[in-house]
Amino acid sequence: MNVCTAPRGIFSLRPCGAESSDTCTSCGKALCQEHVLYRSAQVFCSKCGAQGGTDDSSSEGNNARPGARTGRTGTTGATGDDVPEWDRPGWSDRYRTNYYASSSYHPVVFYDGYDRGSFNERADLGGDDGPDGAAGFSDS
Amino acid sequence: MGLLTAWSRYQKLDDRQRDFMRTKILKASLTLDEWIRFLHPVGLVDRETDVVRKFAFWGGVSCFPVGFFAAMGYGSGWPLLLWPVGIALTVFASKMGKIDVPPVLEESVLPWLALLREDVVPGSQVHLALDLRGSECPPKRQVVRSGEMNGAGWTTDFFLDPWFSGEATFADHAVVKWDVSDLVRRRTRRRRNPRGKTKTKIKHKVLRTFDVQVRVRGKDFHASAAAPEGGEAIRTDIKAGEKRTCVRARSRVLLSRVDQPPRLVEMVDSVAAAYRHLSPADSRGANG
Repeated sequence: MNVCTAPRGIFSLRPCGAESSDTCTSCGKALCQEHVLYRSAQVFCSKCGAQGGTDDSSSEGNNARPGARTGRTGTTGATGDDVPEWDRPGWSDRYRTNYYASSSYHPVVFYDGYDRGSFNERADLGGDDGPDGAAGFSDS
Repeated sequence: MGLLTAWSRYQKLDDRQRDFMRTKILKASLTLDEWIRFLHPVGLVDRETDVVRKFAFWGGVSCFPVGFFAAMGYGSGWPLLLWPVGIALTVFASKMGKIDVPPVLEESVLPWLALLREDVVPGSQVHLALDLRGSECPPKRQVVRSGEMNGAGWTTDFFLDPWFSGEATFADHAVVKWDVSDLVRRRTRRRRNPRGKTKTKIKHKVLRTFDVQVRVRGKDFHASAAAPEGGEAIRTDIKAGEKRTCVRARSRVLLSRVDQPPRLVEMVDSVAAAYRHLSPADSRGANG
């Protein structure tokens, strides 16, 4: 199962980890439904999507998949004009980007024990201490 | 029709939501999604009833003179039937006024909860305590001072209003507590002019405090006491223990209006000020 690698969090960042359903056209990053951004009928992550063009859904205020039914739908299930700004898909991503740009805040990047396990030297702790050369890798 | 629609939407809320709209006090532990599902409809109904209430009030009040002058003009008693309509509309407006929730719910509380969805462990309980009765309700009065100066009487009331607090566990295992409270000074001056008319002036000053505590595990984060870049404006205290480290950030904003909702960025800044002191304990797995 591929997992979404989009960043999640405001104060400390971590990989999203949800099951991915799409891939960013530009950088190839796996993305879950919550983190995809549709532009010109293509899928982007929030970082690549912010670099140019107009959001397909900007007029609707909704990040709807192309061809899907139109009309605003928020994450709380509200529809139409009832959908507030904070309930629109991708709002927290945009807020985070703007906040970091305006406040000089550098988030802590947090990896839990499972994520760090790959760097452990002992295999029984989830680490990879096998030979790297055969796979074309070498220890740095 | 708008009156009936607003009323029926209010009736469609569940008992706990209607109870919150009446009392404006809430204290519970729910997941973030449950909180948003609970509070969002309340905000929507409140927005709708605000419009309807104003319409009902001014419509009701205008029924009295319109009925009176129409009855005089036409020489008939029928236009006076507008009076009971006016009474019904003003009673309706008054009932709607009792369920009015301050705009702070939609402008500050709900966006804050929506933003927390990024950091809070999905499905974990978030404790919230909300008191939206307003800063100047009698139980919140702390000190009253009064006197007379240059022939004018003055009264100064102080109110302490801890209206929004909560506790949540973040995905990085930090336990974050926040408390937003308003200290309100209401100064009333009364002066009687030579003709015997009394004039009253009321001025407010509000000191809003954002108090945030971030408790992290020692094995996850190191805390540094050095003032971080960009966070100097917010006062922070650090208590480092063997297992847990607690960073407390307090910021204050001076306001001249009582009903001014806090901006989301002020609340985010307070938590960020505490996080600015933290760095990951395991540098192998973190680069932030």
